[in-house]
Amino acid sequence: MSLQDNIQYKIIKRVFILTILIIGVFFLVFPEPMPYIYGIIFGATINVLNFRLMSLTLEKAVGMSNNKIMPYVVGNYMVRYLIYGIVLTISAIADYINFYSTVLGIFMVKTIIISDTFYDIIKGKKTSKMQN
Amino acid sequence: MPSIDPKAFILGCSAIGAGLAMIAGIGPGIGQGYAAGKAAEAVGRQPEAQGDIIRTMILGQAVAETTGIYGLVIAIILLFVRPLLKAF
Repeated sequence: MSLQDNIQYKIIKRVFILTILIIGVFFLVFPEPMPYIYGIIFGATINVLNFRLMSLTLEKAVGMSNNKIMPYVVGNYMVRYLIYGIVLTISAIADYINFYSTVLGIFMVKTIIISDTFYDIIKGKKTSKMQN
Repeated sequence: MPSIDPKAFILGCSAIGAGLAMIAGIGPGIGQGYAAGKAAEAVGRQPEAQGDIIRTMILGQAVAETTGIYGLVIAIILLFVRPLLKAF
């Protein structure tokens, strides 16, 4: 897995690159792309910030005593869940933000983590071609 | 007996469906807490592997968290986008 070292930085960098690529596709596909672009930027930004918040929570939780971990982690999860709820509600209500592209942005970190295997395969092929 | 307005009936059922979909948000929270507890135990047993344990846990929990968001998305769609009302 190429995400083993400095994962937070790598994931945030890849989310940024993938968001830029998807924005480019939106520009090509849709005649009025701005609501879609606002949506994906909104969703991806909140997802990255929540991922960072989760990382800070877990790093702190590992050093805590065993009976305090569960309420701390679950409480923080509920806060992040509430943030996602506010973001999705705003994008569902506001006309200038597309709801479905916000949902796509919210799943961006998961997409990056799952696609890490494919990224490694592609990168491995490129490396072997260069070696040959 | 007064008849029920079909639109009101659909909206009511959508609200019940949204409430049921929100149950999906409970599981990942409990799972995350449990996983963090086990990670703390693992760090206690093997402190030199702390970096690896935290890294693996963060990746796993980021994926696990999205399963709760599926339910949230369904609930928001039922409440605000109202696809069943548009079909009617």
